[in-house]
Formats: sequence, structure tokens, C-alpha cells
Amino acid sequence: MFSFNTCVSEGCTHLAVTGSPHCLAHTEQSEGIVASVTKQISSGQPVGSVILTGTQFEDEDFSNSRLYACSLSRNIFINCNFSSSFLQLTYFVFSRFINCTFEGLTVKYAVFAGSEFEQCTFEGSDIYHTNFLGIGARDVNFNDSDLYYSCFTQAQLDNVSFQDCNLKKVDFYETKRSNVSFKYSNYEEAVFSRD
Amino acid sequence: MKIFFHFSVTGFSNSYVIGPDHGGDALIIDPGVMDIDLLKLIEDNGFYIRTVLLTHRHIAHVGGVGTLLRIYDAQVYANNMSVLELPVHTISEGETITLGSLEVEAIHVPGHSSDSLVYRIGKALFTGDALMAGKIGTTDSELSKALLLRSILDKLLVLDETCLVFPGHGPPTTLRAEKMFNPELLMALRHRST
Repeated sequence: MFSFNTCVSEGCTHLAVTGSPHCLAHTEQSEGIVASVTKQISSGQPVGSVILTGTQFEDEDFSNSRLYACSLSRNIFINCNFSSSFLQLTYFVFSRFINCTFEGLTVKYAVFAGSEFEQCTFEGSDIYHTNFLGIGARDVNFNDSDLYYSCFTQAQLDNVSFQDCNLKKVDFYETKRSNVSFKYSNYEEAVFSRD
Repeated sequence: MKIFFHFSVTGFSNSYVIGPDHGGDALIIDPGVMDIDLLKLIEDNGFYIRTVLLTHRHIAHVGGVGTLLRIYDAQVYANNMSVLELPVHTISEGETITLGSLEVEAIHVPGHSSDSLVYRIGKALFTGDALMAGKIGTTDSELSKALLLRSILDKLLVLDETCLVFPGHGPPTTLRAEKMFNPELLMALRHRST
């Protein structure tokens, strides 16, 4: 599990990034740290307990990456490729994903709560026990995915497709849905109300 | 500290194994079932279970305790005198248990059941059925629901909002996400502020 050490800068409450006693905003080696973590994730080797928050990744190839108990929260990902990656107990809370590919992803117990997704695809993924609480999703494709026991409570879903998905125990309570398709999916096994 | 999860398909519940980075004495929270997968997880990481923490006595969370105690010489802690007729060490609000470098604080959060405890280890909260991603635990009356909400607001939401929440069912979450998006908590917070 990643450590919970907070940045040593006075008054800062953010987590210290891996390899530094500071958060990214307060360290002088921010470029080196971002480059090092990017290289680790891209290598395809298992990466555990890494913390890197508050930065932007653009045009990165993170396909086939394997992340265990990492915190990559409050980041912006633009045109990044997470295809065929494996994520376990990894946190991407309050992040932003623009035009990212997650095809063939395997996720267990990850947290994307409060994140924004625009023009992203998760097609053909196994996404178990994953937290999408309060996300905003526009033009997102979850087709042909297993979303068992994942949670979308209070999400705003606009032009989102869940075709041919396993939705058993998936929680859609208090979601705002516009042009959302559940075609060929077992939506009757999903949760839409607390009654 | 390493945290591992195990999902029980019988009670749809989560168990958590917490131990040092390189193996040694470890603790388990809510062994709802003790199966080969869970045993393999414990053994492959070089752990020996010394402490069993139960968030409450519902069978989905305690069903594996008997089998576990046949394998490991462990102390069981709960907010009860006994669980499944097995003796337990009673632990109450504010008490702490130390296992190696791990210090565990018990927080009493009644409502889902009268014996519901949340365990805090640093910034990790193991909430059982009291608080889950996007929802609170089920209750059998409006009075119990009010008690649960009051307990969560007064004892959990006052903690650092970067705390990670590991519930007894469903995906993990964070305290901040629950404050922002959990419908029942949002309503209770609005009600309290008026």
C-alpha cells in the first residue's frame, strides 16, 4: 500500500510523491519524478505503492501496465493508452481523462470517484468492484465489459454506451443519464433505486 | 504496510488482510469465508494471522472465523462477548490494539447493527457495513438509520477526508468522495446545516 506521508511544506495537505518528501507542486525535482514514474508505468513491469498526483500526462503509452496499490489521483490524462493494463487497488480520484483508451483493461478494486471522462473507451474490459462515484462521462464506451459490483452513484452520463455488459450488482442510483444505452445488457440485475 | 482484499462469493463480502511489507504477523478483518484462495493469499505473502477483527457479527463477515482458528492461533476482537459461540475479546469505542507496528483504533458506529465497529489503521478505515461506496448500511428502522447517520457524521466525517475507506461490501472509496457524492450523507449534512 502506498504511504500516507503528507508533503513536508508548511500548510500543505497533499500526499508526498514517490521519491520525495514533498508533493509535486513543492518539489524541485518534479520533471525528473514525473519522467521516472512514467518510465516505470510504461515498462509493463509490476508497479506498486507509487504516488504521483497533480500532473498531466499527454500521448503516453501505458498499455500492458500493471499497477498495484498506487495513487495517481488529481492527474490529467490526454490521449493516453491504458489498453490491456491491470489495475488493482489503484486510485485515480478527481482526475481527468480526455480521449484515453482502456480497451481490454482488467481492474479490481480501483477508485475513479469524482473523475471526468471525455471520449474514452473501456470496450472489452473486466472492471470489478470499481468506484465511479460522481464521475462525469461524455462520449464513453463500456461495451462488451464486465462491470460486476461497480458503483456509478451520482454519476452524470452523457452519450455513454453499456451494450452487452454484465451489470450484476452495478449501482446506478441517482445517476443523471442522457442517451445511455443498456442494449443486450442485464440491466435488471443492476441497482437503480434503494427500494 | 500491505493491504490485500479477498471477495467472498457466498456473502458477497470483502475480507482484508493487513500485514508488514515483507511478511510476518498479520491481521484479518471480517473473514466471511475461509477458502483456499484466502489461505493462499495469506501464505504466499509470508503472513501468520495473529489478530482477527470483526466489524459486526453478521454471518457474511464472520463465517470463516472457525476454520481460520483451526489454522492460526489468533485472537478475535469484536464488540460482542462471543461470535458463533467462539470466545472473543470485547473491544469498544476508542480502544486500540497494537500488532507489531500497526495500531488499530476501534470506532463504534451503531445503526446497521448495535455492535458495528469501524477500524482505523492510520488513514485506512475498515467500515464493514456502516459505510460503503455511495451508500450507508441497511437499517431495520428509521431510528436505526438516524443513529447510523449521526454516528457517521460525528465520528467518521470529522476525520481527515483523505482517509481511504475499505467497506465490507462493494468497491473501496475515500472519505472525501463520500462527503461529495453519497446521497444519504449529503441529505443528512444538508438537514444538519438547516
